Amino acid sequence: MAGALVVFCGQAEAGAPLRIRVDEIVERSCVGSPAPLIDDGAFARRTALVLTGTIPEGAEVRAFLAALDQAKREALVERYLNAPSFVEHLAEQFDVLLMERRPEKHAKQEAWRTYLVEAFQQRKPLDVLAREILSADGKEGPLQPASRFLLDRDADPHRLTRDAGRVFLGIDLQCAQCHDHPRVDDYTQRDYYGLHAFFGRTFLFQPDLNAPGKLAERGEGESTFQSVFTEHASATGPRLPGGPEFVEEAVSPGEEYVAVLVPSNGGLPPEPRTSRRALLGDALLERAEDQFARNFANRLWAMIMGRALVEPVDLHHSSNPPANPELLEILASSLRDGGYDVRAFARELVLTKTFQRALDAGQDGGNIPEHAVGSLEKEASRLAAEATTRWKEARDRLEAVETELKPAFDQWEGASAALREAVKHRNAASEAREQAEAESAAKGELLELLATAAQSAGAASEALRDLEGLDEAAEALRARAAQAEQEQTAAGQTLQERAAALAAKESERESEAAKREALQPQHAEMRARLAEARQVYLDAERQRREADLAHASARAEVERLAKLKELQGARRARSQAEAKLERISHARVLVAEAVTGLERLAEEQLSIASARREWIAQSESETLRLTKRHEELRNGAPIVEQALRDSEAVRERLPEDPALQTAEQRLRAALAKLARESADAEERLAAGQDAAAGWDEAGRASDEAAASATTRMALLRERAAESERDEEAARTALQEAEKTQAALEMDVLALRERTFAVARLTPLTPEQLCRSMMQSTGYLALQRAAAEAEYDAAQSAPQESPAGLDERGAAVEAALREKIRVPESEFIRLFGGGAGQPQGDFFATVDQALFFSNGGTVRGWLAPGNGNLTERLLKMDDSAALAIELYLCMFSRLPEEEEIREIQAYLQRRAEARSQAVEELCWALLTSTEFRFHH
Amino acid sequence: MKCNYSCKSEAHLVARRQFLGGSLATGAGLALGGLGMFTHPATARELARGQKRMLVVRMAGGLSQLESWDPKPGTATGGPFRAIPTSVPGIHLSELLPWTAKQMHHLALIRGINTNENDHGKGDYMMITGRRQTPAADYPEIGAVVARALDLEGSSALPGHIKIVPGGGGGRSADSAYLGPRYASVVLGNGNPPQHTERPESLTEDVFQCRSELRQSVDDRFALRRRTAETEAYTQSFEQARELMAEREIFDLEREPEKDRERYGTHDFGRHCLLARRLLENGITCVQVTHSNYDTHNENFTFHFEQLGEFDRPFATLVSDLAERGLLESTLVVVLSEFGRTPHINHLYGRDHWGTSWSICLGGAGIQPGAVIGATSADGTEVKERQVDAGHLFHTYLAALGLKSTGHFTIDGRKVPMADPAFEPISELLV
Repeated sequence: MAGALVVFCGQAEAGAPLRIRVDEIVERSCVGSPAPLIDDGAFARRTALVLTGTIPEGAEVRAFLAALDQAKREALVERYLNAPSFVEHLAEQFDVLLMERRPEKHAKQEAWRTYLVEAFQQRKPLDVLAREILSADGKEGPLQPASRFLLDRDADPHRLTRDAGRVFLGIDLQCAQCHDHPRVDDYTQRDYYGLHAFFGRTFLFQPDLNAPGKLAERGEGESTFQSVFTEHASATGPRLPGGPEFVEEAVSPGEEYVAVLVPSNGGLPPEPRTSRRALLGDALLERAEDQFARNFANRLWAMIMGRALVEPVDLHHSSNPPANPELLEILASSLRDGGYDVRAFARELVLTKTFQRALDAGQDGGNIPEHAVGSLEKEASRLAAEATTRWKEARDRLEAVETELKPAFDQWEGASAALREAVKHRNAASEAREQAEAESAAKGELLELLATAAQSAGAASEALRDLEGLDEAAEALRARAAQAEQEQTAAGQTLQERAAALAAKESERESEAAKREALQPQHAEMRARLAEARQVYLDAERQRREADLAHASARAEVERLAKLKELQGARRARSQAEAKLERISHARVLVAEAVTGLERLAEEQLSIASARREWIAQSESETLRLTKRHEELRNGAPIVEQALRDSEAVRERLPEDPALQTAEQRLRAALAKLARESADAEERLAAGQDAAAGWDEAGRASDEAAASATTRMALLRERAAESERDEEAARTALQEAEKTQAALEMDVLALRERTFAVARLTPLTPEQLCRSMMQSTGYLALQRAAAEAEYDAAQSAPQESPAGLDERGAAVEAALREKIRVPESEFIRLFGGGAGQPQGDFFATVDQALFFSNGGTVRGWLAPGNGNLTERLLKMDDSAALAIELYLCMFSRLPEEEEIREIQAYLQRRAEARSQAVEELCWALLTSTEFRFHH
Repeated sequence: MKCNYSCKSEAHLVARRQFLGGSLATGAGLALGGLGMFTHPATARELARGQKRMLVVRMAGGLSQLESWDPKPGTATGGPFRAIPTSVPGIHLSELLPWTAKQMHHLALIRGINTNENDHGKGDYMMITGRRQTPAADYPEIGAVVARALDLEGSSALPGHIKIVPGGGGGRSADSAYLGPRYASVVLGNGNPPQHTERPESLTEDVFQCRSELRQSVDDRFALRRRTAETEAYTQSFEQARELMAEREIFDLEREPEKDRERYGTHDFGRHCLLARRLLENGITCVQVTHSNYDTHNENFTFHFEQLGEFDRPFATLVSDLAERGLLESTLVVVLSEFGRTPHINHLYGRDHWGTSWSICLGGAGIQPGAVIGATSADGTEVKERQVDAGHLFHTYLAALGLKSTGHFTIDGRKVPMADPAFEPISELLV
């Protein structure tokens, strides 16, 4: 269905549900008009993937498509949110987010995962979860598994500084470890060490390298730093980026530990009186809650919408503004005000129209909003520059104060160190004295015992004088007692000496304490001055950050508009190029036609001319003949006349001679004929001459015409070639314009995706891909059924109460996770990022394709059996019905006509091996782009 | 049965270039590669001819410099072996390396290494990543760096980084850190071909092609709805898989002449060296061969006698073959360890871990043949001249391959230096 779009005019009420407010903001600010909403099948697929980590079963899609319930989408969302697989999927995503697939080292992965599952089962708010993880002490108890975040990063302060910043605040301070970040003003070395101070005393306590290490913390140690660029040295107490320093309860030097560490108890970690790391959980939520909420709102949004508002998710800073700052603020405050309830937050997001936008491009909306973005950007830029100047001044002032106070601080630190040393010596002396005391007491006891024994022996020897040896015994005992007395005296002396030494050490300690105490007022004053300078600096920093953010947002807006304008220009240029090509093509056709016409004309003229030349040649030869004849006739006439005259002369003599008469008559007739013929020839000759003159002229004309046609034709041919070249150039220009336009169309599509006007293709995570493949092939259902059967078999009575069913669901889900561990880890190995690396990057490698093409795992799922997909399909005789079932299971939609035909044709072609053909069909769909990506 | 496998039409390829090009320009976090860019694999190979390559021989456990590159015969620390002259006058190697000595004119030595690290893991890490191990960050290995830096925009279906290791196993390893899985090495356990490159027996070539065509047709239809750099990379990976399957024979030593197999030797290391030659010739950017094991805390001399006896001839043969075939000009060869061994000989006739004054051997590409950089004292206990650390070596490898070692990669919008910025290449060693 292509639902009608409701366009909100005016802003939604602040109290309106989050989904309404989200849609209102997105529709108001997205690039172009929003795409239509997806149909039911796509909705079921998208929702199932996002909430339960797998595509829906084919049967479920079939039922969902058939359902007539108006509110069926809401109902489906509710069902998924309450499914055990929701909790499982959420725990898995948080595991990846928090641990980035680090291998198990000092903490148990399974216990950690169970801890996360239970946390989400109990709907533990996100802030509580964060606090538990960061303040974990690793001691035995229900929260022990939470220490994996710290332990499996080897409890290393630098690693923890980086990852706590990235994971919990969305800021990656790594580049600020040795100096202020070279490109991101927001990330300063001061911030890095402020965060580091929470972890600086934490370490991995691992006396036995073959046993897992434990979390431990020292009671002293400050985070000091020096920039490798400016060489300015500074120190900081624990503080969060942008926030003030923590004021800690002052612990007197030497008094940092509950139990005094002596070398002999090396098997135990130290026990400090205060834990800096324990402060972090609270600090995060009291001092940096805005950023904490923003970070998780952004990450949860990305999990559901397929794209974060701030990307990369761990680079929140003022020159990388959110795609929609207003939206991120609303999401963050809503997450916080909703008590960090992930399920409630997810529900709102999934029910937005924004979540349900189709993939198909829709309208990009040619109308560019004309408001004064440019001048706003200029103003923002000016303000940002000013704020930056003020911030740099404040930093210089702070550094000057730090430099000025450094000697005094060193003095204070020296006094503290001296005191700590004195306390150590005092404690050692005290211990020595106690030892001596014990020794002396022991010697006293011994002496007493010996004296008693000697006395008894003496008495015995007195009483029994005749018994031999008693005397000697008594004597020996007396001698031993005398020795013991000496020893006791010596011990007493040692004790006295040690007591004196202790007194000396104690007085040294007192003197050091007094020295330090004397520095106290000066120190307090310095602290105050420093705190003030730091506060001024932090205020300036905050203002700079805000101004920068505003500037970056304005700049993004300007760039967005520029891009749209550019696209419009490109489209115009493309259609102009198209029109030009059309015009040129048209002209070329006309020229070509003209050339053809001329060719015909020239040909005609030429043939006329040649016919005429032929005729001229003929008439010339006729004239020649006539002229000759005429000459003959003219030459013959006098002869005939002479003969006639001669004949007349004879007839005068013989007037009646008939023969003569006849001859005369004949001669006369011949003469007449001759005259006639001659006249005729003369006439024909004259006529011929006239005609010849005419022919000649006409022939010349034809020749000229033909010649001119040929010349024109050559010209036109040149023009035709030229216009062909023009056309080629216009075609190239059009192709260029098309390419430019295509690139810009992609850019604008990206902008539309970025502003959530249209859905985006998101690759499935390794776990989603694995589970979806198992789901579509029917393998997952089989494993689930087995897990259920095993659970039920272990129960004495079937679980029917809601609580019992919940318990069963959770237990089955956990058992299922165990059952699919092997294939899932194979997918993770191939499709997941490296251990400890960010997991969001998509990559398509040959070994993945080889795994799909030749590996046994997928082939195993496709082998028909146990009622799985291929077996079900093989039982279907009607290939159209088979196509429908196949598409529902693979793509959660009905096939198009063309797709049905394709499948029918395929099965027909492979009729001789139908079973294999069905497997191939499933394989082809399973490994297709449509399956690999979430859309 | 007839299947017209049509996914390589010109239109397809041109359009794809546009998609992929666009994504590269915007620097999306996307990895791809493939012969799909070219209409024929031979074109790719032709283009790759000028391509630089690297061979790393890892002497696992810690090779003794005194029994190899920096002999000190006749001293208290020198041990029983003599030094022999090499093909470069003035340079002597241990007599355990007679074959390598004949190739010295192709090679160079760095004798003043002080990594100050005596732990196997940490030493290994330093030598192969060019940085000291720190818990706060992971760095990619030299092979991944080189594969990425020399990647011809995904011109080959073949992996850019291959490790040949003794023993079994295989698959993709996690040695590319932030450069991503595309540049992680593919491990060939005991020289076996990569996983899943063989078509299952139940699948005939026809059927394989047929279902591929069907998948392509389904993909083409979907592409009408949306086409992105990511979808292109995904469909392309299947074409690459076909290419790689077709080229599976490059992993097959049976295709090498019997004579060569004899020259290299039939033991594992010999076969691995021959495979390395075959892979380099077929355009693999970085090949790493491991020879194990040199951790000789006792009986140092016997073990080195045996181990180097195995190493010497195949390695020398490989160097000479690469030179003869004109490949050495473009191929950097490095023989390294995690550290050297103590000059002091312990009571078990062993030598212990020693990172203070030791050597590596390298050659080819931009390395000056016959050069010796740095020197140790007469008894080999300290560096006397041109002391260098692992960071210098790493820079030098990159520079020898024609790369700007002070350059950086852009990862997810972040600039990461290619090599440790605290060091620079050993410039006098470079041509």
